[in-house]
Amino acid sequence: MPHILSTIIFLPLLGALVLAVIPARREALIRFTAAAFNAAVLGCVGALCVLFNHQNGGMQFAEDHSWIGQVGIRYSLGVDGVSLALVFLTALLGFLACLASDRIRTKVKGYFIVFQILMTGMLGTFLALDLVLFYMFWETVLIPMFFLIGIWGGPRREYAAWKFFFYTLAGSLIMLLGIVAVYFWAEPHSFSMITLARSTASLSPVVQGALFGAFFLAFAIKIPVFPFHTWLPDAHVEAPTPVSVILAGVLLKMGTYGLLRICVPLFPAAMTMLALPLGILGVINLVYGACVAFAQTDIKKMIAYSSVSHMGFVLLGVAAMNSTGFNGSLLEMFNHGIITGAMFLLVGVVYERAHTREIGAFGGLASVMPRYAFFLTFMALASLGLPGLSGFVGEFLSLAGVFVAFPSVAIAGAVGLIALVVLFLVMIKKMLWGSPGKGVSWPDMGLKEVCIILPLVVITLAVGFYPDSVLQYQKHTIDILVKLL
Amino acid sequence: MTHDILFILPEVVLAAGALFILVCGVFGCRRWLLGFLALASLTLAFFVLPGGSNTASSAFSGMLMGDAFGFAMRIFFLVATVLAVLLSMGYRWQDDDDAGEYFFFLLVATACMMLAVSSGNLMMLYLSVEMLSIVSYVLAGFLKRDIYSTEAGLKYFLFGALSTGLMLYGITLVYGLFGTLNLADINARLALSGVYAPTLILAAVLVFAGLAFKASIVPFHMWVADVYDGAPWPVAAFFSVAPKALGFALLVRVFFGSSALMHSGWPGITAVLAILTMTIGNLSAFHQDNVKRLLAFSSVGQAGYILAGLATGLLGLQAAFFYMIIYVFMNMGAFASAALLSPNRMDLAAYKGMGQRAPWGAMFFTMFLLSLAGLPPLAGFLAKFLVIRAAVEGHYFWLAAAVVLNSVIAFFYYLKVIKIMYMDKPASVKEVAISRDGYLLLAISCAAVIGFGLWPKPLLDILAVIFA
Repeated sequence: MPHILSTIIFLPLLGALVLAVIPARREALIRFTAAAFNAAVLGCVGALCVLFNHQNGGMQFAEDHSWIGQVGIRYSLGVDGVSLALVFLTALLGFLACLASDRIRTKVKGYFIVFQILMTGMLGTFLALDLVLFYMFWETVLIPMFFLIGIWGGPRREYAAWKFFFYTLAGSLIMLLGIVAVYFWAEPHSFSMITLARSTASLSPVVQGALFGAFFLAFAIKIPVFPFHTWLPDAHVEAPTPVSVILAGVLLKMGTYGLLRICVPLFPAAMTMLALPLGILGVINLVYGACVAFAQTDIKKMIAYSSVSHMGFVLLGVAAMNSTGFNGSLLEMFNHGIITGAMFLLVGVVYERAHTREIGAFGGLASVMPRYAFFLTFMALASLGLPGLSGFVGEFLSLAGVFVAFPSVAIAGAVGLIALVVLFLVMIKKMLWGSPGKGVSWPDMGLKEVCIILPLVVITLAVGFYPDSVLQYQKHTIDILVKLL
Repeated sequence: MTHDILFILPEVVLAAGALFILVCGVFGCRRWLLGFLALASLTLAFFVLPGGSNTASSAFSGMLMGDAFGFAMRIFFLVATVLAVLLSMGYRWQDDDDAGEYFFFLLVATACMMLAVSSGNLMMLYLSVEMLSIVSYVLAGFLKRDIYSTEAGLKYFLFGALSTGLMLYGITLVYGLFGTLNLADINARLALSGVYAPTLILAAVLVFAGLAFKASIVPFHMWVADVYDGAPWPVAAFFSVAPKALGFALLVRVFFGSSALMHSGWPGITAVLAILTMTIGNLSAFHQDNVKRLLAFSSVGQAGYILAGLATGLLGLQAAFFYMIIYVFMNMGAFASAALLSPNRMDLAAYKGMGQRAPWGAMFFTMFLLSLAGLPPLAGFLAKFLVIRAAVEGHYFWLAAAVVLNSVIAFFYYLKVIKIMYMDKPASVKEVAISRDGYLLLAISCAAVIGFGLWPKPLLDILAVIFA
């Protein structure tokens, strides 16, 4: 299958075009078509995982065509261990979020069209190997997300949409400057990430540092790294449930993916030089995110801040600059996508019933909604890093990696982990235990809701018990990456 | 002699077509028929354009000259006018009077621009520009019963008369210094002496001022918002693309002929002017609540990006003209969709809920605004990318950074319009009907904006040949 990657990227866009010609009043057909296209994408990604040779750490299924030859922009795609897991994550969460969109009742057609364009942007970002192509897909994500939050969001949706948009836009335009600058500084001039990885290492550390800064700012806003994180809670709180799933599950990973895909291979000297500050930022994210999350009374905001905290682990893993750390970091990205995606789905379940997300409004849910209580507990335990579930593996590897490089940073991070544990246990206690409050009598999770959550539960358990199921795909690529340093 | 006539045949065809339309208008032909005649004249003019060969030719003893650049620019003006004619046919005018005169002026303006860009002599250049200006003043004040339109015409006239006067003064100084007005001779003389007398600099500044007025470069942009605001929508759309492009084309004609340019103050001064133009344009557009004024200031901002391309000299020349070609489609498209969606009310509130009231029109408007903002993969992104690339290649990092910062500001107000169309509740949900000609124009422009964004190769190849 020579064009499988192009197929994966543009299938959702085709879906958007098909949706555009369906009359707006045929909502059931629209929902079905959108789900069908996302299922097809997931199927293609599944085939990709099967065909993927995990002994080979290099680029596979590569496509490379001259596109705008006069300027040096190429249409080049490829998948390796760093991107495969994230592509799978995107396709899976995209499909599940699409199924979980039945609470979207207004402007259904527009919603799914925009959603499909968003999918194309995200998949393209993870598969592009040309910096300009990468940038194009990266920017493609912005406008759909602006609409998804701004039209279908909560009461303060417009504010949240603007904030999200301008934080990301400012960062990405600076990245554009970096892209053009790296093109002219590198010999031979190129936008190809593969070619650049061989040529930029000879640049002086100062130049590397400047270029790294331009890229890092864009990624830091997307991840988000403290102090650029303030858009995240607003965006999450206002976004509808499926959009929150995508936002936390996939969009944040675009930033951390950029660190591993672009910053590490292209600017190794700068990365080595700045590893310690990066690690410190990671610890700040971890501790600060968990502490702020603890103070929240809105469950969605709480999980949003816990995402900030988890991104701290990813940063720690990258700062380790060794293969354990990188493996942990990448695995944590995947796990966080699965676990937090599930958490947002679960928050959506109670919000639909209670129409509030105030943690004080709940209590004793375990006796009213036992199935819900099970899933929430399970995911919260995974999120806080209980051994045997997937969250633990990624967090442990990240910490272990960074311990080799900067022991004190690792110790500080481990302390932050305690805050995360307390946070989730307290959340479980407040929401599930105790006696049910007044008016707490909602139906338990239905079959469809369980079916949407179940794949995520299975993956969490599988990765927890057998981490190699994901690690085997990535470790050879990471070995190559580490050799570049 | 035949050669000379053949050279100006397209302009002759346009003038003849214009006169014919004027006569038809007197006998009460309908607007669509007159528009159709105008399109026919433009098409015929295209087919009689003399050769696209690279070899330079001249006509009327050096008054006019033909080269690849001139040839391309003449096509450019024909295309821009075709778009303007389509908009004039599709737009809902308040009254249907004087349609004949309207198309007459439009075609004459096109002929003037084509002559101006083919000028080999500063006198010829001045005459064409002046004639264009006079036609433009009439077009701006075309709605006779509308006091704002009259005001626009008068304002345009006052500013325009001053700036062409300045340019004429500059040209007389050039004549005093060189004893000739032939551009090729002047450039040859400059290359020999290489001396820059203060008088020459003064002359250059005066000529620059005259052309910058047309291109709406800060500080010669003051007229833009008021004139666009008062002029009828199709006229404003036409002004925002064609005469502006002429300003830039003539800047290149006059200033890029001499190779000494890059060693003079040109790059620094134009880069600063470019930054001022984009920043002032974008900041002024930022809090406009009148869509026409917003688009007017946005067109000033866009002029800044084009000038930023020219500031880096030959490096950015291709980028600047690529930008200009894309700009014609996206800006014409934006003006046209704004005009077609709300012909009479121009405040932002009139566009509330357009996403439901006119789904296709709103979608087209969104595409043009996003392209103006520079969102990939639309062509506006690539245009901006090329400008940034040229600036970085020429080591003007601050210029590149200014373009980037301005893009952030500009995104805000473009997105504000989109937000109002899709997220605000409308006062009424009455559907907005858009005419067939209007849709044709929007579809052509949108196809260009998407097509050149995804497949710019042919266009870049052509530009590479022109500026080889």
